Amino acid sequence: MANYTVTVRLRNRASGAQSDPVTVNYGVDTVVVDPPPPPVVTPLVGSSIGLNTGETWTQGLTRHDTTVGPLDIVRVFYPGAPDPWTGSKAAQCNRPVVVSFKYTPVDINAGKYDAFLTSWFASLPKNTYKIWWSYYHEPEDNIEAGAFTAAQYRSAWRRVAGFARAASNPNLFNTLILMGYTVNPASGRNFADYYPGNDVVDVIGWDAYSAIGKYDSPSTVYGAAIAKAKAQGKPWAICETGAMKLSSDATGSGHASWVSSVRTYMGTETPVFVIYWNQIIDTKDYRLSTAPAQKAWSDYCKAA
Amino acid sequence: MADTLPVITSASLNKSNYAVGEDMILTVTGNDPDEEVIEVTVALRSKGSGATSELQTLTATIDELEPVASDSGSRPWTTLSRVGDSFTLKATA
Repeated sequence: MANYTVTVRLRNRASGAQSDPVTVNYGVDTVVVDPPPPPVVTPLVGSSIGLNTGETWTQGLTRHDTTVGPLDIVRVFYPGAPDPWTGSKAAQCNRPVVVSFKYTPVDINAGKYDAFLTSWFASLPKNTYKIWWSYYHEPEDNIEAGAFTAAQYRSAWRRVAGFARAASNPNLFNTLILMGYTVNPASGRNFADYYPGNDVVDVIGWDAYSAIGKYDSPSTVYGAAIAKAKAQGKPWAICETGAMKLSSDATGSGHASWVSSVRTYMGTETPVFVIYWNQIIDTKDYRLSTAPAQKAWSDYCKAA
Repeated sequence: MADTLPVITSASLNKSNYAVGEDMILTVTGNDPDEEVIEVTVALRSKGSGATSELQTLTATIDELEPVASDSGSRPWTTLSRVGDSFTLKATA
């Protein structure tokens, strides 16, 4: 609303004599042009593939597509070197993937795998699906255990990233994957210790879970991690997430509600992708094991 | 007789807030004691025959009043009508 005045007088046409002015106030609605809404960035939604006993990768992939998908993106882990791309687990996904592999930073920094990694990155498809690769995801515990130093890790990461950059593949994204816990002040960790540099990181990925024994709010699980990625000015993604179904949640409706809350929360954020850890690790079962929880994640995938 | 100044006794808008493009009506009431309406009645008479036309009455206003408005939003106000001492002006919001 803009405010104006109109001032009026009565004037004698012949003599020009005028009355005292009288002022009247009025308002006119201003035309507010809302800025265009920001573009909706729909994340890719997927999961890891936990294989049942005797199940092949393809069978497991199909089962996940059926029960919690269809998956937009698949998390593929290599505990050591990545398989040659052709025929690999990642290639069989036939869709966007997040692929991680591990070598010791000492070996990487010594140049032991320069030739292989150069060749491997060059072999990745350029015109099909986006590939987010990561070297040595979640290094924090290993560094704290003394397996290698943070400086060695950062140096190795930068070296591997150099091979990826040399492939000149527009569908290849350098993805640093850290633990969500690392940005929790209680961890005593410093994000910078694990960050190899803005020039070599395309996407910051987080592995972040609800605490055992409860369904944490999404802001509790992801808030600090997202804030850290934003502070770095980098796109970010959830590379692993999950909540263990509570024993009191017999039907899984609570688990499903947690999944839905994640979906809602991520709808207000801008992750590149969100991946559920649909597996058991040690004795911790994070699987979407009930029909309501599976449907909730499947619905999220379908909506993406 | 010395001129007296016109006097506004009231001025008001038909609304206090307007939408863009809406008509705004300003009503001003006032007068000037100097203003006077006079009537002049005339007839034509033939010098030759002495025949006389019907009477014709004309009116004229002496010291006629007019409203003058200025707007902080530079909107032009035009006078729509006058009825007695009441003047009606219009502008577009």
